[in-house]
This record gives sequence, structure tokens and C-alpha cells, in this order.
Amino acid sequence: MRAPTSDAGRDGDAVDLVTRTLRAVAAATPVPDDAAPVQDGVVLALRADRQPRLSRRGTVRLVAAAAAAVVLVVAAVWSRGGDDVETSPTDPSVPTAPRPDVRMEAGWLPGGFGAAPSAVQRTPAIDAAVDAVLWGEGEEVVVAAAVDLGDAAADPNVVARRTETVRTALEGAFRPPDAGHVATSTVGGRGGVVLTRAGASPDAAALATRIAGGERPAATAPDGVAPTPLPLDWLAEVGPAVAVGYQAADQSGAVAITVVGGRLPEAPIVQAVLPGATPVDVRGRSGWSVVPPGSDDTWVTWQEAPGLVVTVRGGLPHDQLLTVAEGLVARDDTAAQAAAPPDVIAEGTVEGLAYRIERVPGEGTDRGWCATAVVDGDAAGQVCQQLVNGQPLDAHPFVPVARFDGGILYLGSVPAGVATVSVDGSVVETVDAAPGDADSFPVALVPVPDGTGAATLRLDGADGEDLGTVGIDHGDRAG
Amino acid sequence: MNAERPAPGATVGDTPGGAGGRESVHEVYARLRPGLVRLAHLLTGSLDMAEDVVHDAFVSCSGRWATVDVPDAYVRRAVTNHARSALRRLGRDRDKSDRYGRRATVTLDIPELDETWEVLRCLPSRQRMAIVLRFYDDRSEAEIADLLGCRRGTVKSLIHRGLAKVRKEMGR
Repeated sequence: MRAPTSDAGRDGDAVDLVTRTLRAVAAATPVPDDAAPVQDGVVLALRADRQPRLSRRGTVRLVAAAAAAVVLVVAAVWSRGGDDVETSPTDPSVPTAPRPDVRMEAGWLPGGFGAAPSAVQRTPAIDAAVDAVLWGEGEEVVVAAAVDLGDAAADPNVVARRTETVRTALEGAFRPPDAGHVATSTVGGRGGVVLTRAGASPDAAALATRIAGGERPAATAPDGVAPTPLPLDWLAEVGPAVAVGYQAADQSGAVAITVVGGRLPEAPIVQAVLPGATPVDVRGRSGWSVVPPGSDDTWVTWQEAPGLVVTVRGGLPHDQLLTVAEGLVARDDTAAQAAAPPDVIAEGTVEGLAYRIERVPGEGTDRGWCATAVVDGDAAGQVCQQLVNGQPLDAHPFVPVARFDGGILYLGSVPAGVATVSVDGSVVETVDAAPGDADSFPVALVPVPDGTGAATLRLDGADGEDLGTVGIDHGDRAG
Repeated sequence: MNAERPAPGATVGDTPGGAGGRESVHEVYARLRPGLVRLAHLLTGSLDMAEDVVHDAFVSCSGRWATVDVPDAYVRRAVTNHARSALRRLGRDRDKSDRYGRRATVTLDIPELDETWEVLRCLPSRQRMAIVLRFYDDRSEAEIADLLGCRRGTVKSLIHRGLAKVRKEMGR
């Protein structure tokens, strides 16, 4: 062990005393050899063997009660059929075959937790355009975001709140509270948010002011630095979210499950944004485990389905949290396919492809309707009404279903009231997934031309009312 | 990180994944546990808590063992993280604090070192962890900052204040 030279000086004597003490204490530390050996792959069994100690500690226990403690049911069904070809949920490509059926079902909670949620909170997607980028590595990462309400005369309080929402969402994931810098600024209907890690040199406040003044976040990167687009819709409150909380009866612990209508960024971006994020396999889903610096909580987050990110968060040991997460992940369930025959709600030809859209009821009590796009005779993609604890999730995913010459065909669900979806001048009418049903929702099959990688779909009501936009980033699928 | 150098307490010549094969959790647990219990004892100031911390760290790591590239460094980091979490929970939970108390530890029968250890045990946990990681675990300030989730400047401050307390209490 080397002598700590950098701390020499007037602390030298104390350092020497401390070092000798620590070494002596370590050498005198008894290490009982009666500890139960860890068995390969069954470390959890060891915990059970050590139950008396763990009980004495009051640690919340994981109870293997697969039939009990229904945590959350979220419908998230893709199309199914023939030979399944898995594509990574975090890097979806145009499917060449139907996706497997997946759904969330009964999960596990640690012992002592009530099966009923202690809180359910729904938050809509932020009603502002958010443009964010990041650059740098490690402790020099900078995140810059613009929050644009599209109205220079917008209420300053509303602009400030939206900007604060983005700041909070980013800060929760990006940095510990005592490191780096966070700055926000608002000008008119636009806000700027900049977060820098401790080792980054830019002046966060100055960048935020420039962005609020109208500068694009990407333009604030230093010369010669290529910023990376940073999607934020996977963060709750930027994307639409439902959070369900569970509390231990003795208040010793809590678990929050958040379902966000968004898409996890690619791995390098996740690792830049979430320090210490390590890949985990959540029953076949590619996910991440994170212990945010300065936080007691562990996160496990994964892309459950296109447009659906699930995060389990709590002050539990990682293995327990992962088990809760795995209990949420959908299982293939062939029996669940015994659904009613599909109803065709639309059919025709688009971009030379014969298509029809079929409506099928979702399986289970907490599922809404699903719409399946069948292209050239093959089920190619599906979107479903996503329910959490019986309440619809305000998420409207678009899934790629087929490639045509010059673009990609997307199937998507859109908010109620949307009559047409337009992109690059072409207009597509929506169809009702379940006409006459209170839980119906409009769907659209939209051809999106290849282009710069991002496309904006404009949503209009029957009377031409502007109902917002949906962004599709299909740069990695174009060409 | 300290992936390359042997951990204090490890036997010289221990080679992770020796004999050309990847070590199992069992093998790594058997090999590293003594050194990790010693580290956790220093970090937490409690023998009971040290054993729990090491055990929980291995339980935590086992779930992702297949993805762990450098088990020694990974587990060592996990132990530090679990010690930090355990101390935080301890601070919030008076019952646990009473249970672990200022509790089982060792005596060295060398008055100066026993007194110094008592001063170190009574330091705020982040100060003690920073000092242990610096002067026992041989971590750089940057590594400690990463482990404790703070800035390097904070690490300097934690160590400085901890040493100042030792000097004051020990008359140095």
C-alpha cells in the first residue's frame, strides 16, 4: 500500500496515525468462517438461510407469492404469429415478422408490502416542444435543452413551470444534487435548461440564457464538438406517465413503478445521462440498473414495448428490485391468444402495399382495444390501448410496420378527437379502433418518407383544429 | 478503479478467473470475503454491519453476475455502495441505530490506536468512508468522489475535516 503523498504536510502525523490504525483494525477484524457458503446461482437461498439475522435487521423480505400481490397490469401487446423474430426493444427495426405477444401480469412485491397501491399518479406529456442534446463524456457531460411553448406571448408562469418540469426530470436522472451545475432561463415562450457535470467547463447559466433567447441547444456546443440528440420522452412528465406507488406496512420501504410513453435512448446516451448505469436483463428485455449518485434508491428501467418504458424504483436491495421488475415483465402466453375473431376496421392500399387494420379486444381485465396492421397478408404491428390499474395511459406509440419504396409505414394510436394525421403534405384519415365504445381510440396508418431522420406528424381535429404534433425519429431505420 | 491491483486482504497470487475459467460467485465470495469484511468493518465501524454489507453486496451482484467483467472491482465497489446505503438507513432508523449501536468492533490493546479508532468510528460516516477509502483502500480522490457520489473538492474537504478531528482529539 503506497504512502499517500498528496495528503502529506501538516496532516502528515495524523495521516500516519490513521493509516496505522486502519491497518491494525483491519488485521484484527475477525472473519467468521462459519458463514454459509454461497451456492452458484442460488445466492438468494443463502439469504433465506440467514433469515434470523435478516429478520432481526427488519429488512423487508421478498415473498415468493406469484399468485398474490398483483402489482400492476399493463396491456402492451404486439402482434403475434408464425415465426417470431426478436428485435431489440431499444433499437427497433422494421419488423420482418410479427412480434411475440407480451403483457405485464401479476408480479411480486417484498413481504410486508400491501398488494394495493398506496398512490397512483397520472401525468400528461408536457405540452411544449422539447429539444435536447448532450455532449462530452464522464464528468464533462453537458446536457442542454430548449422548452418551447410555441407562443412568444405565453404566460411566463406557464413557461417557467414547463421549464422547471424538464429541469426536474433531467436532474433526477442526470446528476447528484451536490455536483455540477444546473441553470434555467426563460425568455418569452421559451425556456432553456442546462446541466453540467462537475468536470464540465461551460457556464451553464450563460448557455441556458442563450437557449432561452432562441438559440438551438445543438448550436451551443463548442466548436468542433458534435452534440448528440437526447430524447427525453422516456422521462416521466416529459412523456406521459402513470406512477404507482406501494408502501410497506411498517413504512420501512417503498417501491414506485412508473410507466412512461416513450422510448429509451441508445446505450451510450443512457450511460452518459445515468451515471453508473449497468445493463441488466429483465426477463429478456434489455434494461438498465442505476443507483443515482446521492440517492438511496435503485432504479431498474427497461423498454417494455415500443413507446412504453417501465421503471421500478425503490430503496430495496438490487436483487429484490430486479425481482419486482421481472414480475412485471410480460410473459408469452399462448393461451391468451384465444381472442375473439378480429374485426376489420379499415383496408386498402397504401404506397403499393395492401393493408388492413384489424381490431381485437385486449386480453385480461386491464387491457383495452388493440389494432393490428396486416400488410400484404402478414400481421406486421400492433398498438393497444394501454391501461394501468384500469386507467388509460395517455401514450400514443407509433410502431413501424413495413418499408415501402422511399419510406416506412407506421401504425400509431393518436389522442381522441384526432381526425387526420399529416406529414410532408400528405394527409391520412384516422379510424376508430372500436366505434361506439367509450374506450375506443383513433388509429392511423401513416407513410413517413425517408428524410433527415426525424419526421413531425401533425394532428388535426375534424374541424381543422390543431391538436398538436407527434415526432418520429426513424433515422436509424431510414435508407 | 482498482481493478488491476490486489485488494487489501486478498492473497497474493489470487487470480480472478484463474486456470483460464471464469470464477463463479461462490469462488469469488470465498476468495474476497475476508478482505471485504475488513473493508466494510472500517467503512461502517461495526462488525455486525460489515458482515451484512458484504453479504448483501454479493446477493446484489449475483443477479447480474453474467454481465460482470471484472468481479473483484465490481464486488468491491458494491460493498462500498452497500456500506454507504446501510449507513444512510442507519441514520434514518433509530431502532437499527440502537441495534447496531456503537457496537461490536475490535480492540487492539494499543491505547493510541484504540483511541484513534474510536475517533474514526465517531466521525460522520462520509468523513470516515472518505478516510478509509483514501488511507486504507488506497483510492484516489477521483475514485472516492465517484464512489461517494460527490465532487473531488468535497472529498478533499471530508478528508481534511476528518483528519482535523483526529488531530484535535489525539492532540496532534
